[in-house]
Amino acid sequence: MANESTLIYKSLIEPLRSESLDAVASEELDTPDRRDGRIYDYDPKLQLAVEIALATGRPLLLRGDPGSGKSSVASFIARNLNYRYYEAVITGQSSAQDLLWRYDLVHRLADAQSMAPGEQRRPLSDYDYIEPGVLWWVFDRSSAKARGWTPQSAMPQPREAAEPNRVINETRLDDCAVVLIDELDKADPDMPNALLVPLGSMAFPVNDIRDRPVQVALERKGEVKKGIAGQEMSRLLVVITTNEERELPPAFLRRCIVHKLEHPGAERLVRIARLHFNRPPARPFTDEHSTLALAIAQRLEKLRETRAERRQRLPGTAEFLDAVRAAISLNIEVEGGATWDAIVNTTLLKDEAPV
Amino acid sequence: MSRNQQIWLGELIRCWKALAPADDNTRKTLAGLVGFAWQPPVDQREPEATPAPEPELPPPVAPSAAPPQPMTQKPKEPPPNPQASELPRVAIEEEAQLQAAEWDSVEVLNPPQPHNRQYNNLLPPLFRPLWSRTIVTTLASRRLPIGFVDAERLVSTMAAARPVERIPRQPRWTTMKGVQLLLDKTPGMAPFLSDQAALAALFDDCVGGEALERLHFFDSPLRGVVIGGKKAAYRPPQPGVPVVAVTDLGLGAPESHFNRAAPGEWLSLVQLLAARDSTLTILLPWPAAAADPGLQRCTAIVEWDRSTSATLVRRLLERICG
Repeated sequence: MANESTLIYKSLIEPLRSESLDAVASEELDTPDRRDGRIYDYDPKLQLAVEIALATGRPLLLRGDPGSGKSSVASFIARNLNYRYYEAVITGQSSAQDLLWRYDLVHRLADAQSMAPGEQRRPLSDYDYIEPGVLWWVFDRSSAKARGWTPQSAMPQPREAAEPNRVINETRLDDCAVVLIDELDKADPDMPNALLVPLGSMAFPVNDIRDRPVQVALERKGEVKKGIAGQEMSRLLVVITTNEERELPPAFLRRCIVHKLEHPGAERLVRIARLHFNRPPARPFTDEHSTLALAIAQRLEKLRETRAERRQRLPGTAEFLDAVRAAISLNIEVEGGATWDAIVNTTLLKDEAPV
Repeated sequence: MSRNQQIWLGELIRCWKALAPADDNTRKTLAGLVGFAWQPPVDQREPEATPAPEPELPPPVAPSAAPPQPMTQKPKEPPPNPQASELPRVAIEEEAQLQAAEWDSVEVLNPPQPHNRQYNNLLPPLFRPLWSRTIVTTLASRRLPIGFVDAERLVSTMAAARPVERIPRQPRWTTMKGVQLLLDKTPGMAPFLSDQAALAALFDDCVGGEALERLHFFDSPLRGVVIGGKKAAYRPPQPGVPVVAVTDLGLGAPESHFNRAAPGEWLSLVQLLAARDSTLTILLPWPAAAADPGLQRCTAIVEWDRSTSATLVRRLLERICG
């Protein structure tokens, strides 16, 4: 593969491509933090990082400022590779267990209590209260659907578990998946360490099923997945993002392919705006729109420089897209007086003091 | 080469083989993404004589000025096979490229860290370096009922026919509340100023910049704190946020330092925080036994010392947090 940045190698996958958005696409698709994976503007180094992650089977850890597009990468890759797509957004209360499975104890207790007097007591099955987490869906979809139940189980077959993102995933490759673990730095430090084993061995035991031991492992069907030049590649891509609010444990970092998403320059920002807002023939991204986007991008660059000196929050791509969208929708001209200032203050600076 | 770096080396070889980078820029980028600084190997083969024009001889140099030899020397090549020139060279060159990458001499980059902070002081750190992250995380943690459903309590409530007003959950240690870090700048703490800076940076990394409130004070926080170079009245954190004070409690101050805080001032701080469901932990570069007994009873006094472990810190916190 050859490109403008002179990264020449034997590619595993085709170059990642954005789709052109049609004019009748519903507006809700066109959000700056889109997760449908239809459009993304990336640098060649990101594609190389993805290919290394696929070649090594290691998680891809994406670093970068908030709003730099980290969370949108995974769905874009999944769509390009036709892999299934799952995501988990991490909060301060998340634990590694949430990504593996959850046991609905309260539901079970309610079922146990709700039997009418005299009703024939039927044994409660653990399978009914198991909710597979995203890693279970990624590792073994059929086992997740069955909540770990197999014909060898002594208990009756449970109802099928609801697959996340089912509508899209039904059209994708059954044995290949991309999973996004978003904002891992929000979690307590225990969580990344607790994920080392499941992500390293691609397997974990489900301890809450007392019927029989259940082991979830990466489903292996048929032949090894091959790249376009015949190289072996992973069926699974784990994409992890961090805003770097706190440091991830070194042991975890060492098991990841790490790539930092740099802030795009003004020209690339305009390209990104074109990708998002060009809807020909009804709503093309015109030269006037390009001029407007370039002016906003240049303003953004100046703001970033000034605010970096003051160690203030830096507006990023998401804020830029908000500003362009607002300026296009409201038909606001560059440096157009108070309205222009309002756009800058509300979209780029948010509620902070203007520079 | 450490054991952990061998993990990287395996990844590097695997993706090198799969992606077959064709030029030095790609090789360097690829190696950097896996954690290595790659340099193109120096070609030591004799240049082919026939196509090259007659080179100008370089001026003679003294033996001492000779360029340094690379760390690893290739074995002397065997005499050329006369039939070799007729063979296709592609495979041989690829093989040669792979062999030329001297893996053992590849320089390893620093582990990727967001801020690339340096914690190195001239003096050895007060906590054991390998334990310090865990200790700091434990210092900033509090036990909150956010874990799994506490089945035992739930069942006992229902068995006693009491209404379940709230689903009981098992407690979990978490840093989600953030932490308020109080750094003592009195003369007694002067020997530990660089340790304080390193510790504050470690808190920043473990807890997160936005969740960490860092304040400086002299003698007692209740006398005022310094925020951004300006003195201000002390304001306790949001309810439930733990407070960690890095102070010598006046124990290390010179005798001429008359303004040292009395134990009563620290007890007042403890009461102020307790009213807001917060707890005070004191990180003391002195033996804990030297602190006021009353203060020892109502706060966790952690010795800033190599003997301190995360388990010990957690035990102290369990005592004051219940």
